[in-house]
Amino acid sequence: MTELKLAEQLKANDKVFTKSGHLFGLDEMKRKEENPGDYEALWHILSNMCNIAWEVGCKVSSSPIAVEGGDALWALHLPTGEAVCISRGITAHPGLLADMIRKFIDLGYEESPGFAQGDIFENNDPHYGGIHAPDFDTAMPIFYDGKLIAWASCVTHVSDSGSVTPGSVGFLNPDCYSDGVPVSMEKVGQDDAYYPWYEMRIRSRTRTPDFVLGDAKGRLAGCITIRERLMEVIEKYGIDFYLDSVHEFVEDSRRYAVGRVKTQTVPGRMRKSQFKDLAMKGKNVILNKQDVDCLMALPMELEIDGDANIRFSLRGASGSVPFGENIHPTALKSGLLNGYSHVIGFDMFNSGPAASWDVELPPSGSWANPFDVDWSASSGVAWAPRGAVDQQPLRGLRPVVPHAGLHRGDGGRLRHHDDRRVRRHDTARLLPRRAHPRAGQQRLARTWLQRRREQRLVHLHAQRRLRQRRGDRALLSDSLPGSEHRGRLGWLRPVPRRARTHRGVDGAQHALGDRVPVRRRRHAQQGAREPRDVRGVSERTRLRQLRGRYQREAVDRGGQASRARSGTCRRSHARPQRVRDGDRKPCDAAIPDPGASPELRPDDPHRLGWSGDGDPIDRDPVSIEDDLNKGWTLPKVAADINGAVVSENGSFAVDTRATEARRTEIREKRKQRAVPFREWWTAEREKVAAKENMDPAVLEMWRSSMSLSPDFGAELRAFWGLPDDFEF
Amino acid sequence: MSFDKAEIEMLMDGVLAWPAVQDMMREAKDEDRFDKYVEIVQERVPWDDRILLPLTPALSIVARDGRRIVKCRCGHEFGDYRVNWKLSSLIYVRDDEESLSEVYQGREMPDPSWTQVREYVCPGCGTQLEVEAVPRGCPPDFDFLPDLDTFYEDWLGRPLPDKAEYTDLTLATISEWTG
Amino acid sequence: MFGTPVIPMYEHEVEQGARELLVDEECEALAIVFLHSYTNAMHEERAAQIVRRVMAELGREVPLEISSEVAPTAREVSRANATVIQAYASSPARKQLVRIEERLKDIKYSCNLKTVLGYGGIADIRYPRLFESAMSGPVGGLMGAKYLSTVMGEENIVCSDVGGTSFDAGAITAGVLPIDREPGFQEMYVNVPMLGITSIGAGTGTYIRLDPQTGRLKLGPDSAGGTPGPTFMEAGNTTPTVNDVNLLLGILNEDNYLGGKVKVNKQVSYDLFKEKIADPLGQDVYEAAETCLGLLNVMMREHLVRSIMVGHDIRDYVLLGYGGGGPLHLLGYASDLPWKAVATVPYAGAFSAWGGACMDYSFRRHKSVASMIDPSADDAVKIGYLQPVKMGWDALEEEMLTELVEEGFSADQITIKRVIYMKYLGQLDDIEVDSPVDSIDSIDDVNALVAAFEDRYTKLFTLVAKSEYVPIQVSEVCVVATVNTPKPRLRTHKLADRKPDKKAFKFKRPVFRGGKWNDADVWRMEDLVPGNEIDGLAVIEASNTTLFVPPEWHMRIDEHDIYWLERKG
Repeated sequence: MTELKLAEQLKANDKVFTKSGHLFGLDEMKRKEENPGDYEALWHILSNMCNIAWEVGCKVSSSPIAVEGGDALWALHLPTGEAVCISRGITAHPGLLADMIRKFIDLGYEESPGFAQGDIFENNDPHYGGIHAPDFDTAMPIFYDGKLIAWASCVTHVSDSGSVTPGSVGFLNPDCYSDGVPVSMEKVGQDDAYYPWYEMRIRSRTRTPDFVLGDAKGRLAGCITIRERLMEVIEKYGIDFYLDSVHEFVEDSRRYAVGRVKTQTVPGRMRKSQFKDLAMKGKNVILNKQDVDCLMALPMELEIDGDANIRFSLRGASGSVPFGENIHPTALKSGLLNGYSHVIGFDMFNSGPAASWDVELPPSGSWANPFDVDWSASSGVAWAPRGAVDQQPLRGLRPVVPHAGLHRGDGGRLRHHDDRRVRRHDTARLLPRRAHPRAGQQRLARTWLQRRREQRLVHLHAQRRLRQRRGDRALLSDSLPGSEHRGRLGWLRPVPRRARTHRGVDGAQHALGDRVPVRRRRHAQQGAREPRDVRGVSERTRLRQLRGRYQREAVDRGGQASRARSGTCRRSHARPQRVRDGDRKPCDAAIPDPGASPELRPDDPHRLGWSGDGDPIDRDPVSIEDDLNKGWTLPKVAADINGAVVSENGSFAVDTRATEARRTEIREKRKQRAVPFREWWTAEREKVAAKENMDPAVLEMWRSSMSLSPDFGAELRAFWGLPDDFEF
Repeated sequence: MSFDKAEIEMLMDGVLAWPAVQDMMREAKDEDRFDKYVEIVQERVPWDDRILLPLTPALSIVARDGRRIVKCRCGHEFGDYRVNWKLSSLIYVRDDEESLSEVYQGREMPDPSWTQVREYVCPGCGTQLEVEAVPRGCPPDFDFLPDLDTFYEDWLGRPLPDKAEYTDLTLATISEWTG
Repeated sequence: MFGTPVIPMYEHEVEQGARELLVDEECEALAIVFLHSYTNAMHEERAAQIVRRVMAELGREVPLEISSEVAPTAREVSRANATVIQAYASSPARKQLVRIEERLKDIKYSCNLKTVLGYGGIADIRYPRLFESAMSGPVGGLMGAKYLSTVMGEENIVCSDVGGTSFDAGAITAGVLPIDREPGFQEMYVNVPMLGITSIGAGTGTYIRLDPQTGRLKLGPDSAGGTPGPTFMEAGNTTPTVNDVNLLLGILNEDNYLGGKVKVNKQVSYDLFKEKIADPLGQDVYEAAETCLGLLNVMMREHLVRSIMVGHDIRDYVLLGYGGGGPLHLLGYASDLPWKAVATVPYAGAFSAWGGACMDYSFRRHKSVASMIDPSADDAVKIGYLQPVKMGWDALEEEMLTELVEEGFSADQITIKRVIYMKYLGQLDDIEVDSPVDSIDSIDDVNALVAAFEDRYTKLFTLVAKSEYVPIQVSEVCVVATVNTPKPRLRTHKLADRKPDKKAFKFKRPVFRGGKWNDADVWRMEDLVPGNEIDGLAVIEASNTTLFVPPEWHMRIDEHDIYWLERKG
């Protein structure tokens, strides 16, 4: 098609897009128009091909993370790196994979070391755009007739990347030097085999090298599968049809995304701030600099213009932190593409839509773009802050609500093909910061995500399995209609029995807000505390008594020595102590008591509900009655939060008239108790200026937010009427 | 593709059966849904000002005397939609243990030196409009500033009779307050 | 984990629990599932004893199941699900089945009633583990195919079933049925082996639409099914479907839909298809219809490629099509893939039911074992490590022989097959290997096992994935006990002339193909007999199915009345 070198082609592509507004200058989609049947057929075949690669790769890999957790993906790319189509799996990565290939080209690898069939290139290094060390991103160039005509890529999340703490989610990594074994934009193999030194490095520096290498084999097997099948496809359809069509797929997807934004959203500017606490002072950390309380600011601004271009900004993001919660902007953008695609919902997930995105480079030195200022920032977890932000576009794109006319479920569009069901992507991850149920955010609680079709129940079921294994009691997850105006059902999750003394560590990583009622949730494993307004089903089981009986056993497992080694993914190998009859003591720690001590003990269950949508006293009394009788809420909640007048006589009944009267009272009381905003503002700005009752962590957060984003700082000062030189 | 107004209404009220919601999501976006949605919201309010864009279950942007303002379903008016309506709201802030513990007990209570919980209440009807849980110093989020003219003219193809510059006027109000 | 009790079971708690459940909560059934009972069932068994004693004392008896009897494998989530289903559903289901049997006996049915098990065997309704019949719906087709394969003399069959809504496929390899050991059932995993069949939404009623945003052609995944059915039924559906396309292209006979019992309106198909698909695509109606059919064929073909993707060579497989829509689309999705052969049968529309009659008494029992083959160990050690495998087989075999003998079969009627599940240490998925040996007494036996595993492994995955130095882990064993039952005998007919009898020919009808109208020979299927051969372009019509033979194909009916399709030349 072209004789340009890839690096030149990249530049030419950028130019023509800027000029024409169409990727690759495709204002006409010749193949699609002339041959819609074969165009569509090719898409099917290529998608299928990627999914076959998934099957092969996962079976060869050794990782339940891939097979059951779905944290892997295989993809096909254009020669210049843009993703064309992907397998099921972790859709947070294709953006990153495309950028990685592009970077190989930009770095001049085409000249040296050159690209040849059978070459294996890899990166897991956040310094160069990787998301975090355990995610190994691989790409192999594919040649036909001597020309590079495609790339096969993939990612798997390995079980241990050699970071300072075992496992693959390095929250406690103080810096990048403890993030684990780096593979930095390297050629790690050729002729379809990894170099011996690559294997040696994995063996030298990871704790589970057989598993990590098993994953490597899986990645390789999947990529080779793509390559071999692609040859068959090209033989059948011809190289020209293939190359033309795959370019058109990317532009087609871009157009679709733009069109979809226009039917789903309202142009304008959305803003939502969010905060994540890392209250680590006094906890078991690794380096002294981590003995600190931090508060991270994750503000989001999203603006949609008349042409459906989307500008995303993280101005005001606070500085990098001495934990694994920082991220490279490329990875961040990739994650956003994931979220965005799910909200917009389109079934050609590839690099196209990214072209209509303008993700502003986050403030340099912030957790979202740390390296120019803090080269050593760790990305052990990386997706945690991104996860918080990930949801914002979803939420942000939904005030779209008015136009979409929906505040539920218009966000995601179903993929067609086999699976008709919308997987409600663990909506936990979609929720922005929330407050308590009685407050209720007025924006939508839910965006229905649809996953790639064959994600085969990945999240829902894998998590169901995981929850069941841990003795969770999962409540009805599709409780959509029931959650209007009240806290949404969640599920009770006992804290895993690990001999970890500081739930704070686990908690901080998992966004269990110590100080801030954070309501983000990414996977089922993560939780945010909810007030005990939401009833846990375990109250009907004997979990409480059982837990109580084994309380001591759980604590005995481990001991001082293991506490000292405590980290985020510690597994206790200590033999459980025999508990004799006389040792057992009853303990009702299963359900946290309201007056319980601030420290969460191992085995204390969390309730993973979340707050509702809308004014809780708007909730229909009939629904409240139903909630009560189903055991989904408590009488105290119905009374205090929903303002219902409840009686019990065998079953619960809500007196509609009395409830209305009570609610009228409540509204009056609210008005009396509240003050006009200006009045509050007048008093509050004095307190702000005086930094009254503001924890040092909060002050430090504002300091960094404002200095890293002077505009943001100016706006904040202007809002409170603070002098231009005011600092926190 | 078009849905009955009754179905849209059920959707809005969260009582549409889940399979029907799925079907709705599966279909291409119906072109008239916005209009039906606005119609339904309009029917439910006791006043007549034309709704331009529903904002929240309680609040909408309406056309009023040549201006575009935010108005509660009860009728209370908050002012120009380009000023964060929160500035015209009543607010109750929980920033100490006593008030926070009304909502969060024991270990679940956030630290007042880290977070304050702000409840926005309609001065007219006492509806709780919004809640924020943010550290002191955080300006209230201006959740959504729509570009109404672009929306109506370019996307819906029916321009509004008037025009308003798409710009955030919140700080202008603040600077009036600081005098 | 190794079966050694670490903490004693608190028997008084079992007793207390039983009382609370039986009295306070008035439970209707009890399931006992302990985490490691698959290795050592002693605690479960003891708990069951206690519960039985409590039930006797209380005078309240409910069904009681324990997981080590129901499905002794390591997967506790699916094991628990299976045990619970067995506990609460088996008894009522059996009662209902017995009632049906009594009714049948009233009308002089002289045998016992059987039920189909999810992995393709039949059992008397008194079979203890009735939960294994929970998902036996799709089994008929595959079992029919398996039986047919013996008649055909073929070991590798890809079974494909086109219905109104879905396209289901599964592959039989070397005569072995595909088994999924942990299928999903009602959104739960259960530990009952089930025939591995995968489906996509592609059938004769599948909707055809253009995405309004992208203009792309979309088939399904939903369908109009039988009701309201294609637009030509005028029953309320105004979205074109696959069968509308078949009708427009002349493949379906408007006068012969469901044997002529149902009137169809072709003009409706035409008008709606033109408006919704052809015009927006800017194509002629018939060209657009052919495009749609082409896309459907690709989708179905791709699905087959995936369902047999795991390393099998298409050239080794016979593609068998059945289901109401099977023969209609078979050659479309057979496409240009190099199948060993393509076949269908005149009773394709009722094939799954026919398959039901083709099943043997066959039971499977799985058991987790912990065993391994360490390549660096010496021979005696290798043999020793594999003894749990032998013990597992022996235990399962004994159990099943006892059960079958109790059912009235004699030992010499029973065939035993031993299966072993192996994987490289560290991998997640094991693979099923038919054991070439009955016992592990010598190093030759060990080597034979390894060879069988490696052979299967490299067939399934690429050579890249094989490992020379990693130990092989054995996670599970299985014994399949089969008793042959009488099957429908596929008669061997004398071959008649190649040229069909005149009365079989109905007329010529134009069929749109390759961008133009061509005359197709339309035949009556009921009048075709073994020995007949027909060249495409042809349409062979029966009352409940239609076989479409494109011009590149040739059809030959063999002595068993099996229809073989071959590419001409």
